[in-house]
Amino acid sequence: MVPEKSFSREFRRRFLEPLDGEWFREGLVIASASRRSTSKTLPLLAQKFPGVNWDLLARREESNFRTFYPVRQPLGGLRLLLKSRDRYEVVILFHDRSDRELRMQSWLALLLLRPRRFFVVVEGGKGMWLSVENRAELRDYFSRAAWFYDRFFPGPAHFLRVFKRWLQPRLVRWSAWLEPVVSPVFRALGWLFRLPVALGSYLVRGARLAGGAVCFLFALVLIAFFRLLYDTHYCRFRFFGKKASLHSERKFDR
Amino acid sequence: MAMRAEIEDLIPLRELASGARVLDLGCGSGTIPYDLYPHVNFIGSDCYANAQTARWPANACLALGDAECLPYADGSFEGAVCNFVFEHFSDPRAALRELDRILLPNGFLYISFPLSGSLHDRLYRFALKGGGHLQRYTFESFLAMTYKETGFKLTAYSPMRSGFTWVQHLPYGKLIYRLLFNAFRLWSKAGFDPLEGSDFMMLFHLGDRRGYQPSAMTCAVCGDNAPGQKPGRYWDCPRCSFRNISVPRGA
Repeated sequence: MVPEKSFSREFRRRFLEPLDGEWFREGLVIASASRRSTSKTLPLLAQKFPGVNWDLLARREESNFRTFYPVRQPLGGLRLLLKSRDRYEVVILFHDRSDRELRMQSWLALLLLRPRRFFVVVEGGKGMWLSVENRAELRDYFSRAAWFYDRFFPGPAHFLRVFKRWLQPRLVRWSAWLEPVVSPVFRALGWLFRLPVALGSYLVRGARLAGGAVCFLFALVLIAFFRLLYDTHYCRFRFFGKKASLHSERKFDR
Repeated sequence: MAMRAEIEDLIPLRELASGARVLDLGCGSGTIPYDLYPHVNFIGSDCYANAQTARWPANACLALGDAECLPYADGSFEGAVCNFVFEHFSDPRAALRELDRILLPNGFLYISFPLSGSLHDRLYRFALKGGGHLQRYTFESFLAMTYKETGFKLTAYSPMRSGFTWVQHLPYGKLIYRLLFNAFRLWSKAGFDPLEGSDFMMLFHLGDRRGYQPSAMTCAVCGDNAPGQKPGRYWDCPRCSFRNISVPRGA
């Protein structure tokens, strides 16, 4: 039997008692609780639900299940839930408050699996049946669980940590071919990024050189024209035979 | 009469004693802002009288004259300023010798000139059909000429960018000046600066010995050094009286 210390009175009263007249064929157990409570509770399933084919989604494999889906990555359970949509009639969720990766499984199970009955076992706390059709009961469940999720709600830091935990062994595994492949790729990407900058600087430089050349050539044309009017004897410019008004003979010296 | 800051830094006018005389050779309208140095007496010298010389301050006066034959006594000036005039001289060696003569010992000589072949010089000669530039100098050639003719020793020198102030006196000079200014500004931003080092300014100080003094003359017989001998085809050794043949410098 289930030890009394672990579960409340309400839980004991309602623990795994199938509702009258209901009969199930396919069931899924999502177990993220501790090995002690899970291993003690799982044998009861066969007694309470005879004739149900149980599948198990957990980290550790247990006996007396038809199929075992190991949870090896954070989103492995989610993939299974997406695949087995509408397949299971009853879902039992053993919920451990410290298991962050499977924390949202009850929500996802309700949203995706849509079983006829859904039972939540919160380790060291409550157990209750939930019906998808009974919205009031669902609301009650989520409101009761709010205190629980508030404390352990996974924030962005958690997801970053999970992502690092997911990425780190892969980096170690892939580093052998990542380094010779990725570094040239990144180098090429950097070169491609710097190329327009370099091209832009060349363009700007070319435009400056061209603009300077245009200004210089224009000035040179003017100088060449006025050179024709320069009288070297008087050191003055002459416009139509008239002297330009200049102050001194050495005006043009610096 | 505006003087550029780098020229003002180079010429030691502020260190001169009160009443010192400085010759501004080839002054034109005035090389130096004379009113900034009231303790110095400036004598501007040029072939022609510029109209702006009438507005010079009291410590500056104009004296018309030829640079190759300056009408001043020996050692009558503490310093001389020749700002872009040496390229105009038909006989720059004579002018240098005259400067050597009229300056006091340890007197300073400031000389600036355009480097031959620079864009600035070429443009000036093209625009004004020579523009009175009779001489072409490089840094080395001018230094060699000065050392050969005079006792001046180079104490400071600096390349300088051309100012193109003469362009402003051309017809439509402000337009041409703006065009050239923008052209050189754009080119310098693009990393191309044709004006860099196109002109040179030098500061000499007069040593104790005047004229061309070879550093050492060694007798072919006794091996004695005779630095005090005057240059000529032969020189007599003061120790053994052997008549040595002068070896030209650089041979």
